[in-house]
Amino acid sequence: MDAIWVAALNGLVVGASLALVAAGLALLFGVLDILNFAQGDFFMLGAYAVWLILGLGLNFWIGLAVGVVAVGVVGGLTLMLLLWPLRHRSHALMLLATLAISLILEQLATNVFGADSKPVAAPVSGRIPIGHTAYPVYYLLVVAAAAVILLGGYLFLRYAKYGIWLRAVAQNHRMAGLLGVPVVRVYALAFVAGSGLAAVAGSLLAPLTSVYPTLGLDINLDAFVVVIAGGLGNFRGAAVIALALGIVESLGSTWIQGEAVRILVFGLVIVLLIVRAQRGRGAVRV
Amino acid sequence: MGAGVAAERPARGRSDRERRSRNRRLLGGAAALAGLAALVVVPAAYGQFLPQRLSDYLIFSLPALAVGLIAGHARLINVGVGATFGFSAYTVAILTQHGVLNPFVLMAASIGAGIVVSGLFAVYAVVATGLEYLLLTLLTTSAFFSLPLLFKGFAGGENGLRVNGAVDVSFGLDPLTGNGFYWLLCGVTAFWCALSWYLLTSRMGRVMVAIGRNPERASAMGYSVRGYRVGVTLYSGAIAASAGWLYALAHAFVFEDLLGLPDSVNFVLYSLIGGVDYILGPLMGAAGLRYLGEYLGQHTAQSQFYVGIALLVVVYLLPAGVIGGVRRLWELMRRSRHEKADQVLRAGRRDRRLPAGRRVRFGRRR
Repeated sequence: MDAIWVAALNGLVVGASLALVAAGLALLFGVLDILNFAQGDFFMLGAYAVWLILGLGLNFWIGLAVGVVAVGVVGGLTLMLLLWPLRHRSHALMLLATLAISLILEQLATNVFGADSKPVAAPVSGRIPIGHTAYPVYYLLVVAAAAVILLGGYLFLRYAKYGIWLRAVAQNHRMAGLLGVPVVRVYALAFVAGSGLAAVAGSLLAPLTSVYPTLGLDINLDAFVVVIAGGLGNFRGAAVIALALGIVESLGSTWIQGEAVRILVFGLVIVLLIVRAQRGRGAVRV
Repeated sequence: MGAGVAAERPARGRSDRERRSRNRRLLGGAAALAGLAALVVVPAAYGQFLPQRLSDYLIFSLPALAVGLIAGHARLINVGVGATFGFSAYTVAILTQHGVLNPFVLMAASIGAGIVVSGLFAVYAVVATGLEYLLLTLLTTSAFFSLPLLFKGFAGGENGLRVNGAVDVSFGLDPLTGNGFYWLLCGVTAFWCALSWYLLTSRMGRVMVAIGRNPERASAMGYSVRGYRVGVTLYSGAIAASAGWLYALAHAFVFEDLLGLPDSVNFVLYSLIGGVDYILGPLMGAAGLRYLGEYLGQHTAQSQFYVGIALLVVVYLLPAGVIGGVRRLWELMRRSRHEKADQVLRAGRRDRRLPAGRRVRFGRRR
């Protein structure tokens, strides 16, 4: 019984971090129709930022804050500069451009930090007993932090001025522009917020996974699955599906082979996407 | 009389156009034959290394051609061709493990298995378009990647699977010695290219081009957009499957990465970089990008960085691919040459004060 609780909690931890990456991806997709292959690399850069700051002898949480701001702003503006000229071109060119950014970032990370895996110490080292198992407190902290950030994002999109503008631009950017919404600024915000959310996830998960240049690749595909299953551009849907996916994969793996669970998940998402494709696609929803 | 002359003019114009078009086709055919002859003869004259290297380029250019046909003529981006390619390769390995060594049976089974997988993509082509289609193919290839791990006993799991039967399974042609296997590859590639060219220049191919440009209009004209999309998906599936069959014969070993996303994405890159609107585009893209990767891999540790930069160059400067870019450059040069000639003529007319009625028309003829 303990094993099931631990597996469920592990799934919740993975799901929470996946939700952060996928929420950023969903935001970018909803506003700009961009499927960002470089999202995983911003996740990786967030993790490296924490490792760097810890190396300087500073606090983990300072590292997280610095990482999020730096990766969010620099990464977001890089995406904006590179993808803005392509906004009226085909999806294929956008995908190629984000893939190119991903390749370049991975190579730069390997050059600067090396290809080896770097361990990151968790800021909280305590454990709480779950049955006969001592479960790390930091894991629960990750879930709580992700929940707070996602709730904040949800409230921002629903009630804040820029959140409402984001949704308006996603629905009809021409009409939003005519009504006085600063469309370019809103696009920039979407890029920065999308990259920043990935960086938060990377920073929070660094003590769990350690840090290496291809860290983002592992989470990218899962994030795509979440965004597709949650409804392309659906912020809340992405968060809910990410949590569900994490728990199902973790719990499922305790009973059947992990690969069988993955194939099952992919199959379900394919069916869901086919059904959605028949009904048409919407813009950013909260 | 006047009416008769007026009626004759368009007919003469049409026959001129037809003659020019026929000449262009003949020239293209001659160039293709010369290219094929060079591909067959020249590398073989340089020993064993070059044909073996080109063999890999030819094998990987076929799935790229498959992606190019779907993307260029059905406007669907398929990032799941790796699943078709890998499944066919695995079929060869699994059958030889179970004692099936007849090369014809292996070829038929492998291509058949690939067509079955591409049937799945054909279903997607019916129910989805655009980004949804791309995502469905992405998920499918990701699911196929897990299959060898799920059926470890059958498909070898992470250790991969050997192709038994030595040269018997490849019609007695050894991929490592002699040029026979390389010539087989040249033949298969030439066959698919010629068939694709024939189909695309036929009425059916022109409908495909029309559907690719404007599916709504083609549908309004009475063409079955879904039917044509299913057709091109299955046809390109057969091309990718034949590449999987050849890969298994050439390397005598298959592994799970053949089915996965990275290979599939590479095929898309090859075709987009070469140019999806041309049959030779994906072939050139595959050869060029693979050569670039190998060259950079040998000379620098930064190969990924340079490939990324090359991708950005293509995205911003050559959105229609390398062949599309060259063709556009050629047209720009031709137009500028005609404009210069026009200017010279106009200047000459001004000097000689030619009457307005005797203007000489030059260039920009349709």
